[in-house]
Amino acid sequence: MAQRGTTYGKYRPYADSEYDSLVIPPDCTETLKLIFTPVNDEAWSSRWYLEFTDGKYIRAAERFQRWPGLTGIAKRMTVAYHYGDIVRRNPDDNLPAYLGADQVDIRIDNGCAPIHLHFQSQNPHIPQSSVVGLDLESVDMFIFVKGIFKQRETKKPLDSIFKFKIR
Amino acid sequence: MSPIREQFLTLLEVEELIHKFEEKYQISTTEFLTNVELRAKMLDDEVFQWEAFHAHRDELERVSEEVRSAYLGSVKKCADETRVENNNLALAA
Repeated sequence: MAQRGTTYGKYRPYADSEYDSLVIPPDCTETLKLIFTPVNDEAWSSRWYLEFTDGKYIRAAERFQRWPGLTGIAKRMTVAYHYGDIVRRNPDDNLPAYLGADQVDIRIDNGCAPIHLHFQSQNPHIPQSSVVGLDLESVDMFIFVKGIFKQRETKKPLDSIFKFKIR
Repeated sequence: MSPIREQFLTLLEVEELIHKFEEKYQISTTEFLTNVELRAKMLDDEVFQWEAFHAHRDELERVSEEVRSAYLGSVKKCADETRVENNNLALAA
């Protein structure tokens, strides 16, 4: 969904539709239900946590902001899609908490560098130029969450599910 | 009705949330935004939330200023005979 430029008015119906079509597996619980915090049509953020009974979790966080120099369009400025073991919990909210050295199954984020991938380990940070077959910017939270559900159901490797290779 | 939740925060509420992070980490938001080493030691979701609240506050303030400027602009365009009234409106803004 137009990660390169959208508005809350366009993104929200898409999110509603994707969320409605999502089938949450029986071993999964939304420990923080998807929540949007909009400022206006050009700025909003969202957070979402899903936990599995085998000790793994998904975190999806996004922040959109008014596109610099453009009026009426928002750009995804911050993104973090994470899937891995629950290593610790934040005592303030009891949600799984991630620090930079923790285990990762797959993670897409732009926290400390342009959008990049972590795959099966925290390091290296794999830049888009080394990821073949998957445009990281095109991945949104629903694509990510559905991909994880599919991997858990089929047991296929994550790189096969998300159709990428590392070069 | 969508099952997705939505929360709208006022400027006061956002400032309170930012203040909570400043209290927790005993640093200002400016320090948080500029200290890369410190951010690397923080929980990922707390970095995300703090940044998001900061951006939220910036956007609320930007919109507020935009509305205020537009209002003052409209006041200036009035005819001369309403000058006294306009001055009072401008002072109110």
